[in-house]
Amino acid sequence: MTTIIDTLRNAHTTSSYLSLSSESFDALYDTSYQFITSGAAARSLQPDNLYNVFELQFFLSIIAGKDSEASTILTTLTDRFGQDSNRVGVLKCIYLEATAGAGQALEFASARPDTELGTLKRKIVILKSTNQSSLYITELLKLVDNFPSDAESWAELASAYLDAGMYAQSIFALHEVLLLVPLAYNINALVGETLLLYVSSLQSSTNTTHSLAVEEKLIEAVKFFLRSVELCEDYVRGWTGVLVATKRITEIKKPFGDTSKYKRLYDVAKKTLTKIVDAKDASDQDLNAAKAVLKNY
Amino acid sequence: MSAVSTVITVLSLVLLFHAGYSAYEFSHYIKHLAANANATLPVDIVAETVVATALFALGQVLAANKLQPVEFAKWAKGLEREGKSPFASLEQRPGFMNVNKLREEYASTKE
Repeated sequence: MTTIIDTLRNAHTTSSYLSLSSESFDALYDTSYQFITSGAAARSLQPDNLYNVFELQFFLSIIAGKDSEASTILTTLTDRFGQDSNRVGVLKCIYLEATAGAGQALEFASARPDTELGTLKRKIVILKSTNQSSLYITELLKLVDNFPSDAESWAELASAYLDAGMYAQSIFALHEVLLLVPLAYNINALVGETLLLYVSSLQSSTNTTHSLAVEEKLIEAVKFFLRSVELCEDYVRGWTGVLVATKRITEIKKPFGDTSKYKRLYDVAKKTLTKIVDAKDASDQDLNAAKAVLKNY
Repeated sequence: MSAVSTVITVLSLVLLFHAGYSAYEFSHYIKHLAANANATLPVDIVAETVVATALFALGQVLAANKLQPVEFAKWAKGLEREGKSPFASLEQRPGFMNVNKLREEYASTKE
């Protein structure tokens, strides 16, 4: 049974509140709000965890539109850590974006020192909301030029390229993420998925005979999906990727290389996924996705 | 601490105390009452001490928390199941969150 402290700590580190359903978000908000206002947080947490819980509550209240509450938390954190703190600067910028508008927020972000990564990112996000996507990519490229070791920026660049349909560049950016965080099994699976999208776009644009590039990309996709299941046992996302990619390879009528082992990999993936589905050894969402993929591939 | 481990630990401490008291009594006996002063500590007191130590170690080991997996793959599987993946922030990217869009989406679900 996870404790409240565990739940809040997970929500803070995984930033799950950015993509929760409405009910889950409300549940999380209520838990966090009760925990703080009842005084239990101040009594039972060490200072660093306590301020993380405050930061989480700030994000929750600003998304829920409770601006005065967010302002109170911001004041508390500013009093504790001062105006020059990186994280406080980011929170202040987010607060201004939400309540005062892009102009004031941009002014505030530009006034911060340009070595502060957090506010640089906010500046780019503000610019994105007022400009087109090509400018967003240019700004992100400048950011990764200056801060090449920040995995989050490379991941955001990959996502921006993907939205723009530039698959090869997106895959390159994801490779950079993997250089920084090689054990990230979800990013390995994401590379595989992006490669499958790339292959689909190549096949639909040429739609004549099968090309070497398509075959190479499919083989690469299998490799990345296999790496993700190597890093995380019974990873449903990885195994469904292996299933789909090996199925596409075995469907090639006249392959350039030897594709017999991909038939065996397909069988292994099918067996593993059926075992996971039968044992219900994953979350409900994952199980539904696995069943859907098993039916179609 | 589970019940079994508490019982074993308490038992081992009782045995240890008994062995120690017996050794004290024996030294008293040797000094004041025995004919030959060369008798060594009886082997059963030594055995009792050794057994008490072993039982104590067993009791403490049984009181340990659930062991975590050593292999990265198994540990990652446990985390994924609990929703605590350490790499989730790479796909959520909180540093680039679009606050206004999130606020709009939330407000639209409330209507």
